Amino acid sequence: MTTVSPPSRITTLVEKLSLRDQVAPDEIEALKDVLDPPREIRSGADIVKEHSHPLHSTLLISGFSARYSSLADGARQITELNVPGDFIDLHSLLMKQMDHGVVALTDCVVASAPHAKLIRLTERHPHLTRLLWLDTIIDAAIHRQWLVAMGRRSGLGHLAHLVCELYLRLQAVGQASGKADGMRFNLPLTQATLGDALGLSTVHVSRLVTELRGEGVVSWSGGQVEILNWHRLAEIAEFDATYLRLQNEPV
Amino acid sequence: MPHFYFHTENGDCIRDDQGEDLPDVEAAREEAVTVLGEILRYRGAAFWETASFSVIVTDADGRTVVSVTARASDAAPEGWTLQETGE
Repeated sequence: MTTVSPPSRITTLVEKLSLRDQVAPDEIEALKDVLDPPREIRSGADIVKEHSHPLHSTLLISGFSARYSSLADGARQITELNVPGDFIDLHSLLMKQMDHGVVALTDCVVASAPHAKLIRLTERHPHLTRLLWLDTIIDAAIHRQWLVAMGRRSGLGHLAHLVCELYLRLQAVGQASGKADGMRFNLPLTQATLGDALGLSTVHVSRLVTELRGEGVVSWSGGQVEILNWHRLAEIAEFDATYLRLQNEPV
Repeated sequence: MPHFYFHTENGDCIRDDQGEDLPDVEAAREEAVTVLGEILRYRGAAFWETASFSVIVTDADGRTVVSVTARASDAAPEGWTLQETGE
């Protein structure tokens, strides 16, 4: 396996925030100042434990992680997949106790932002604070769309919706190739993990992936996804990207 | 952990070549009925076209372990009658 050097600490976060509104140089400095040095987390390890009281929020720099809740019988439901540039628990700054956990789905690089420093940031940089607030609002919007998908979409529509979402979120942080070069991204997640995200059995997920492939909509193998027909995929998903708020409008 | 395969049959057989590690047959039963429910959930009235859907679980040697079947029909299941409600 080739090691790709992870993007610098805040590149992906700044890229994402910059899509929504201009980020000023002093705001970029403020984000840099708030973060501790990056550290590695092994795949499968908890980055934030369920019910813990974190004293810092964590920025995902590279890899995939997931917000999840566990049930007494050992089952787990993933409530959001996180991609580079996501603050995986920015809300712990104000929520204090975690109502869910965050697990590393692949080897990850993360950096902590101590809550005391984040509080100072919110006092000195109101515009940057609104941008970060927006980011937590979009997390909530993602949860809403997942709830709709979980409750009302067909299995195929649900999987297609997830693929559309992940593509746009990864592309926003430079982790997916654009339309001109084939819409490709790495998704090194097992079907069991996808099942936990979709609320479906592994067997069903595997059939749905085969079905999407069979329709010629995606090619999907070895953790690499290529969207062959975005229009058709978005149609199957009834995908409306409004909730990802990827357009530039001042906050 | 034993390995189980979950094939489905609704006129066309879809083979499961991947399978899943599960602790025991009881867990395979749970998975089988879950798969049946998930797939049937959005079939709607189209289910009457094939009218039968089965999940067949086999072990690593290809032997059937358990199966579960749902059927659609315009008639009641054989031997079924609507019971009088009493008084």
